[in-house]
Amino acid sequence: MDSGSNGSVRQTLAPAALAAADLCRRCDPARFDFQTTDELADFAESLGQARAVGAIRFGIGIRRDGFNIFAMGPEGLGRHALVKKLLEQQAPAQEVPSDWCYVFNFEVPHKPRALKLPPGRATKFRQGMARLVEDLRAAIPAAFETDEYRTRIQEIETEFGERQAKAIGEIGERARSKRIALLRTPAGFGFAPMKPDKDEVMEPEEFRKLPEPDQERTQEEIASLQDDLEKALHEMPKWRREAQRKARELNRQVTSASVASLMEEIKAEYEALPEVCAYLTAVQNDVLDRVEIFQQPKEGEQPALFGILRRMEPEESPLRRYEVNVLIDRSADKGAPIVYEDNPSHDNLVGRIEHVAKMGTLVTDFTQIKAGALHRANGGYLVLDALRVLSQPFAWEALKRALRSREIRAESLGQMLSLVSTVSLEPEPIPLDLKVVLVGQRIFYYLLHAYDPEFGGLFKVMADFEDDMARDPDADLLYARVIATMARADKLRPLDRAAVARAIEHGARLAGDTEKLSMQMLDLADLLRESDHWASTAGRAVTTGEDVERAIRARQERASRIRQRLQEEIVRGTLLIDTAGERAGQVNGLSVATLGGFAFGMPHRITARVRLGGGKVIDIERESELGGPIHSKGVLILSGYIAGRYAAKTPLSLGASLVFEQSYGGIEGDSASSAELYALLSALAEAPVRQSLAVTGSVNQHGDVQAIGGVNEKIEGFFDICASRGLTGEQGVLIPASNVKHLMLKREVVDAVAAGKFRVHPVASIDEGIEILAGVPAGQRDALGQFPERSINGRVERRLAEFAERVRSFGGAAPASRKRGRRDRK
Amino acid sequence: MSIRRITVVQESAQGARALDVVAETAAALEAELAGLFVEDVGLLHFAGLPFAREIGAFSARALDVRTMERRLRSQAEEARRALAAAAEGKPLRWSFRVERGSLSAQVRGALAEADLVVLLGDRGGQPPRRRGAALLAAAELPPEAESALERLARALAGDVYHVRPAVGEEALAKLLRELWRGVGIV
Repeated sequence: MDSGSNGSVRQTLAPAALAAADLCRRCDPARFDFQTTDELADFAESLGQARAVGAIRFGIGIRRDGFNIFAMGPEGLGRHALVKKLLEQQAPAQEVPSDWCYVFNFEVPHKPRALKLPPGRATKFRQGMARLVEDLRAAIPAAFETDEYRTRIQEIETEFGERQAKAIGEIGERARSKRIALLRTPAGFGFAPMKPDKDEVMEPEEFRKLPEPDQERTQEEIASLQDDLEKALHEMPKWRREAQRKARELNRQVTSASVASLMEEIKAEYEALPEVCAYLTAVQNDVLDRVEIFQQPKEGEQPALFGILRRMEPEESPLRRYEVNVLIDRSADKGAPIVYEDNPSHDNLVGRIEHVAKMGTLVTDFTQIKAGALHRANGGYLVLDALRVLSQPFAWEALKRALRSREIRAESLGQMLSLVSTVSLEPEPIPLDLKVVLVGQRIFYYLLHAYDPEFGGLFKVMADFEDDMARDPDADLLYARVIATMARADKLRPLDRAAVARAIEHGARLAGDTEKLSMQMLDLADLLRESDHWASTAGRAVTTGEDVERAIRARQERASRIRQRLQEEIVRGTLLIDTAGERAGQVNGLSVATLGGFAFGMPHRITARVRLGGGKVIDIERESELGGPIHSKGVLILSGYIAGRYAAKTPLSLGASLVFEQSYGGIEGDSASSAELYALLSALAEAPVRQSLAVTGSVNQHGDVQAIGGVNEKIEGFFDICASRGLTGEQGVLIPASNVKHLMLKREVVDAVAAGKFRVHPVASIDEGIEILAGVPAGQRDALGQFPERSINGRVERRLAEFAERVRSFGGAAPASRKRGRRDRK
Repeated sequence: MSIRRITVVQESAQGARALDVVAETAAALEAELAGLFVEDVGLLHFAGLPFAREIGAFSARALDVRTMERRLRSQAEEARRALAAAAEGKPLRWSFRVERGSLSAQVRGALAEADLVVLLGDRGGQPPRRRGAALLAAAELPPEAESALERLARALAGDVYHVRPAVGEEALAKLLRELWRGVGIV
C-alpha cells in the first residue's frame, strides 16, 4: 500500500561504471604450464556430468523391470558418446546372451518355432542340419536302390496288379465259358456275345438273327456279368489304397534305419538342449513321412505347370522345411551386445517377415523372418534416439509393447495393419531381456511423462545432462584436457596455451556466464575444427589463439548478414537511433534476436507520451497485438510502480502511451520494462535523457532492476552502432547489477572500456538508473516525506499531483476514463 | 538284313515319351517309321448291339456305334499328333495310317511289311494294364540290329519277341492276349 515510502529510505547514489576487468572473465594462458595440448593427457572421464553419469551407471546396474534409461538434454552435449562409453565399460564383463533361430513347426506350420542355443552354436546348428539333409539326400535314395527294396516294392505292385487281373480275368473267363467276350473299350469295359466258331465279337445283324429266347438269355447273362464287373471295379480303389499303404510302410521301414543312424549323430551333439532334441525328433518323424521328397528328380522330369517347363527355384525345394533360420548369431560377440539403431522404424525394431514373389503371389515361410534391433540387443543394451522412435509410425507403441510383455513378436508393419493380405506367419515370440537407453531432449521426457501413462513405468531412470559446468579454478585445466582429447580424436593440430584460453573464454560466453562453462561439446568440437582450418590456411603447425579468434569471428561474420543490414540502416538514419544528445520521453532499449542459432543485440527507440488520463499506461505493442504476454506484464508493473510510489494518496490521473518505435515484428519479454519506465519518468518529469546510453533490465513494482538474458549480445549490439558512428566516451549501457556475473564481452568492448571510450553501468534500482540517464539526482523523500523540488522524483510527483488536481477540477472526466479503462482490460 | 522299317502300333497319345524313344531309334537306324492306329472292329460290333454298355471305374452307360466311332477317330487323331510330335526335328521319314479290323490281323499285316513292330502298351489308365511295350521282330536279324533292339527294349521297359513270318492269325491273337493283357478280348 505504501510501497512508495520504501524507496524513500534508501540513499541513492549513481554507481560507478564497471572496470574493463569486470566485463569479461579472461582465461589467462599464463596459468597453464603446458605449451601445447600435446602435453596434456587424455581426459577419459565425462566433464561436469556427474549427475547423468551416476544415473546411467545406476540404470545399467539395476537388473529390474522398467529401469530403462532416458538420457536427456539438448543436442550437442555428447549424450550419445557418454552413454556409449558407459555401456562399453559395463557390457564386456557381462555374459554373452543366447543365439536364436527359427525352425519349421511340423505341427502348426504357420507358427514357426524359436530355438534358443548357447552363444555361437546357432550357425553350427544350421550347418549341421544342412549336412544332415545332404546326407539324407544320399542315404534315402540309396536305401531305395537296394535289391531288397526293389524286390519288395515289386512284390507289392505285382500283388496289386495280379489281384486286379485276377478279378477281371475271372469275370472274363466266366464270360468266355458262356461265349461272351469281355472287351476293353476306350473308357472301360464292355460285354458282347462271341461268334459260335471264332473268338470274335458277333456282328449285331447276326445277333438279331438269333432266336428270341437265345437273345434274351444272352442279354440276361451279360446283365449279370456287368453287375459282377461293377462290383469288382468298385473294390479296386480300396486295393490300390492298400497297396499304397504297404508301399509307404515299406518306404518307412527301409529308410528308418539309415535316417535313425544319421539323426543319432546330430542328436548326440545337442543332447543337453531338450528343445533342440524335441525339434530333431520331430524332424526325424517328418523325414520318414516324406521320404519321397529326398529322391532327386530324374533328368528330364521337370515339373510342369500349365504345360510350361520350369526350373525349380531353390526356395521352392520341399527340403526347405528342414532349414534353420539363424536370427541371432553371437559367435563373434564378447560380452553383452550394445546396439544403436539409427533408423528405429517399427520393422527395424521388432524384426520383419519378408515375402517373396512366386508365380505372381507373395509367399513367405519361417526362413523369411528377419531380426530387428530388439533381437540383436536382447541380453544387452539398445540405444535409441527418442525423437526418431517417436516420429516413426507405430515404433513407439511396438517398443513399449515389447518392454511391457518382455517378449519380441516379429511382425511386419504391413501385417500388423492388415495391409498385406497374403500368406502370413505368427512366429513364436522370443523372451526379451534388455535395457533400453533413449536419448532425447528434455521436452520429450516431460511430454511423455505427462501424456503417456506407460512411460513412467517403463523408463524409470532419468539421466539429466547439464548444459554447463561451474568454472572453478580447476575447471579451466580440465576443459583444456577435454580440448586436447578432442583435438587428438579429430586428428587436429595441437593447440597452444593461448588457443586453449580463447576456447575456454568462448565456452564461458556460450554459457553466457563468467562462472560457468558451456557443455556444448559439439559446438566446441566445431570451433576446434574451424580453428584448425584457419591454422592450416596460415601454414601453422600449432593452432594459436589468433586462429581460434579468427574462427569465432569468421563464424559470426558468416551468420551476420541480417545484423549488418540492421546496423547499416541505423547508421544511415533509416532506423532512428540516437547515440548522442538528449531528449525527454525517449530511451534506447535493447533487444536480442536469435536467427538460425546466431543471437545478436539491437537497440530500439522506446518513447513515452503522457497526458491527463484515467491512470492507465497504454502499451501500444499490446494494443496492436504485437506484444507478447510477458511484455504486457512488464508494462502493467510500471503502472503499479508509478501509482505506488508517486500517487499513493491521490488518484493516479495519468494517461500514458509506450511504444517500441519502428518495430514491426513481435516484441516479447520484459527486459525493456526498465527502459520503458525511464522513458515514462523522463516524460513525466520533462527531464531529457542522454541518448548516448542504452538500457536493459526488467523492473518490479518496488523499482528494483532485475536480471535479464542475453546481456552480452545487447551490450555488443549497442556498442557496434556507437563504434561505427565513432565512440565519444559518453556512450554506454545500463545493465542490471545482477547481470554483471554474466558478462563475457568481446574484446573490442573491453578495450574501449579500458580506454575510457565506453561504459557499462550496473544498476540495481530505477533511481540509480534515472540519475545516470538524466544527469539529475533522483531524489529521496526528506523528513517531511517530500522529494527535493528539482529532483526527478519531485518533478514526477508534482506532475502527477497536477493531473490529479485537474481531474478534480474537471469533474466527471476521470470516472468516464476509468470505465473505459476497465472495459479495455477485459 | 537290317531294320529298314519300323511300325509302331499306337492305341492313343499315351506314352509320348515311349514314342520319342522309338522315333530316336528309327532315326538312328535310318529306318522308316510307320504309325498304325487300329480301329478294333470288335469294339464297333459291340457298340452296335442294342444293349451295349460301357462299364468304367466310376460309372456305367449305354453306347452306340456313332459314339464309338467318334471316340476311335479322336483317339486316332491324338495318336497321329503324338507321332508327329515325336518325329519333329529328327532326320526321319515317317507316315501314319488308320486301319479298321481285328488287332491281330492288323499286327500280322504290319509284320509282313515291317522288320519290327512295336506295340506301345500304356493305355488310358484302365486296369489291368501293361506299362512299357512289346517288340515283335522278324525272326532273322543281324547282330547289330539285335543289339539296337535290346537297347530299345530296355528304354521302353518292354520285351522282345521273335515272330516267325508265317505265323497264323489265331496264334498271334493268343500271343497278344498273353503278353498284352487288356488289348482286345481278354
